[in-house]
Amino acid sequence: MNPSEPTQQSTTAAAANTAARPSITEKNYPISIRWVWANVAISLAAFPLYFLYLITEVGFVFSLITSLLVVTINITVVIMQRKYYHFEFGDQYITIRQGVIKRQERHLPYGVIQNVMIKRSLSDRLFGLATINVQNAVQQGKLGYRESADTTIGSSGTDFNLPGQTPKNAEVLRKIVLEKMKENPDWGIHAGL
Amino acid sequence: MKIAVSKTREKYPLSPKKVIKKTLTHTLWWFILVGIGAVIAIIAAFGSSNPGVALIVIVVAAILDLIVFGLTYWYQMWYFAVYFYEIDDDYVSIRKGPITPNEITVPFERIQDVYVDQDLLDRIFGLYDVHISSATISSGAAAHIDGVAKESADGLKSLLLQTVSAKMKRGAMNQTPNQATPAQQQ
Repeated sequence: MNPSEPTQQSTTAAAANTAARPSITEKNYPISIRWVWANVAISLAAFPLYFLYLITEVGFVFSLITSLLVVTINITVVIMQRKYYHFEFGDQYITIRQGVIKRQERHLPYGVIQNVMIKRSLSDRLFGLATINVQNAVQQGKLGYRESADTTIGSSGTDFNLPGQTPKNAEVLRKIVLEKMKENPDWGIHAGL
Repeated sequence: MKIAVSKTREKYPLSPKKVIKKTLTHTLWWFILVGIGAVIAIIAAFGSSNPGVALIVIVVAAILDLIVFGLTYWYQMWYFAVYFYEIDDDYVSIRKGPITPNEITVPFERIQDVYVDQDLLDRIFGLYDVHISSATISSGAAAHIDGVAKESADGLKSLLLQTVSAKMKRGAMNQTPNQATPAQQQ
């Protein structure tokens, strides 16, 4: 009984396993361009509201310029955030790099992911999109539940939010995350054993 | 409307009383406000020269109430039909919302707490909410099956707790062989 044989077999099996699985990054699951259009539509819909609000306070030209500026900035920020959002599903954690001006890199281990949510807000429904959201156990004092789907890009301290997916891709991503969570047991229970 | 089907929903169904309860939850305040407004308008009408206006006010208020109630009831029926929940061997999956569906999936290993509660209208109708919380603060509010009758609530609760403890036992059993074999090989 050679104790080294089982380990050789298991490493080659593991290598074959990781080689067979395609890497999961934003290239395979991009944020759809329709998501940008959805945000553009929302900004344009908000434009008359900004304008009408401002025009009660200041003159016509100033209101027009400010409203247009706000809309343009909104749209630019959305486009830039989408360009600079990178994620990769590793074996033990998700690596997220985001940020236009302030660059951030986060590692979110599968062992601390608590649940997977797929949300479709109204704009998502209209444009045929879905948002997948994964939460870890950080208690950030966020009282109350975010009822509305948060279709902003980003991972804050508590979660990884990926908007602009097609509903089918969102389901696929959900299965992938759940599989990886099964492979990586909950850190809460097994930590310290 | 097609009811969202799942094994779990067949076994532990949502109570149909949930539709009327949620309609009341969402319309009661509206009715109270309209009622107060109508009373004020009626008093004002009697004070003024034309008391017949009071009748018009009552009719308008009643029509508004009916419209709001009807729309809310229709929406809640749709919500009730689309409500999907499934408890299989690995995770609990809950999907709600007809217009903006939200789906949450919690694996059993991550379930920290299962609790059942009732709010005031729930007590009146005899309904219960089963909450499943993981370690995030908001998940108890997010992952819940609300509007089940007592047997369904008890059934769901015991199913969840049984599955969680079975998994924990399996997890404990899986660990001891790993620790045993190196000792045996030595």
